[in-house]
Amino acid sequence: MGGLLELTDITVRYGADIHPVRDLTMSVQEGGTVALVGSNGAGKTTLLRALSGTLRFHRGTVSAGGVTLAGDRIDRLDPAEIVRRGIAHVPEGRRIFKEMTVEENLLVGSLALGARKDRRTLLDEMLDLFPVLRKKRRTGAALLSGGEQQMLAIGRSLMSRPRLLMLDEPSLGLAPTAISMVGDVIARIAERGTTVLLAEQNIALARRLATQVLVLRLGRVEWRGAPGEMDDSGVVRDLYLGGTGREREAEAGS
Amino acid sequence: MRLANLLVDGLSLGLIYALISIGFVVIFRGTKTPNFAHGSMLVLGTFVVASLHSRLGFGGALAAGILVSAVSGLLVNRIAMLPTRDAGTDVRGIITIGLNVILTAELTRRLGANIMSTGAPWGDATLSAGGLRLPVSRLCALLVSVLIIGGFMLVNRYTMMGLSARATAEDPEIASMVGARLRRVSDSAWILGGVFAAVAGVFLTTYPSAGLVVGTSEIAILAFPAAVIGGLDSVGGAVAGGLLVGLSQSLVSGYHDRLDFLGHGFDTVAPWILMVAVLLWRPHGLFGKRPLYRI
Repeated sequence: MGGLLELTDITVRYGADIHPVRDLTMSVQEGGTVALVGSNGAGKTTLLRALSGTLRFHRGTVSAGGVTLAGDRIDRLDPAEIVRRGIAHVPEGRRIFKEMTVEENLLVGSLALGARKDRRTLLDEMLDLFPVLRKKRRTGAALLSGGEQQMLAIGRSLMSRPRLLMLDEPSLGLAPTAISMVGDVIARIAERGTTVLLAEQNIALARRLATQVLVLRLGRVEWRGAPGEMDDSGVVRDLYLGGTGREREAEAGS
Repeated sequence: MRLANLLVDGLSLGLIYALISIGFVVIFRGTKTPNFAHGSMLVLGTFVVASLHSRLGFGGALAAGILVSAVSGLLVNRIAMLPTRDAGTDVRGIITIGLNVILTAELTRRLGANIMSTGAPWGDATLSAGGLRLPVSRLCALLVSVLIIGGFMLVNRYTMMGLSARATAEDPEIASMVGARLRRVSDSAWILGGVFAAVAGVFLTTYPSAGLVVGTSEIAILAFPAAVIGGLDSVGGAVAGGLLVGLSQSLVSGYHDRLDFLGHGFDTVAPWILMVAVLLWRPHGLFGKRPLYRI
């Protein structure tokens, strides 16, 4: 093992007895791109919330297991501390600050860096990475298109110079051209050496970007492997045509 | 000339309300809590100034009053607000109503029927120019309020601290995700609310009233309609609301001879009527952005 991020037997609880994630163990190697795929309710979003420390906002807790980042336990830290340790989270639905300008959204992303003088250089880097944002830097963020808002949400997260960037359904609700642009950006970020954990229902996108794929179902890892192995495993068929693990077990037993 | 005098009087009074109201809004934005104890926090700070000025001089007493008020804000946050941070806005609002009753009872016990002077050096002196009359106290209030409010708005707009506070006001979960320390943001909101209240309290009790009395908290509570008129979560709105409340009071009391049919002392009711009228017209206030926080 010895990955950048290690999850050991993680169980998440909402309320008294809802466990959207159960006994989940996984590892993310430095420099890789891991895609978490699975249908609605598989536990992808919950897992990312557990990692960024934001379960509390949804009345959830990590009730068992542990998470380490580069060997240090992080599962009891609060979100502001976790982002300082190097995990940035681009949440589902983008959630940009609509009352701020594009530039302010990016700057607020650098809060984790503390009192650093190179904030403006970093901002400039980000505007190079997202030329469409440079043109609209003084524009109110609420006025951006869906694709632009997704770029902004990603840029905001990169402003903390993360070691691990987690993205939750970045393709959700976007037009096909915007999805392909978002894909290009994520590929570029990974090339620059940032480790990526991508929760995605869009299998094509996940497959294109990932070095490793984990299929989640009902809060557990049902399958893991390289993107190229997905076809042979039948896992894609199961995800989309409604097959279940139990049916496969039955098939195997017959 | 009567109108001009009333306008000047109303605007300068309005700025004091704006100062209290901004504190209220900062606390609401930072912690989603309507602080109904704001008036008694103001009286507490002013009480400290009034109790200590003969020993420490006005400057020292003012510093002590501001400090006590700031610390009281911090304590309220730590003891009552942070533990209930996952409860609703309504629960925390009700807690502040309880705190207000407790604090007011204690201050009433100490103040009794006394009128305590804060020892402000400007006293009740008045400047006149071309028929316009302006009490020195109000002139100082005007300058200090403009400085504090302007400074606060600049910090809010242009610094990382301000950005962090604005992010927290808009979406606490995402703010914490990008690194805002929510406890620190809420601490500073309560501290700032306390500081602004203490400063405003000193001006509120030097003119037109002769000093601090038990009823001062009732005057201070006028910052509430000011904040609601402005929109509860808007700093600019708090200033506009404060000015409107100040003007409505000043004009109604200045023209009371023509408004006699409304009854005596209608100026104390006018801001509340204005508040109800604004809410009927715009349920989230003049500048409130999010219908989520409608009253």
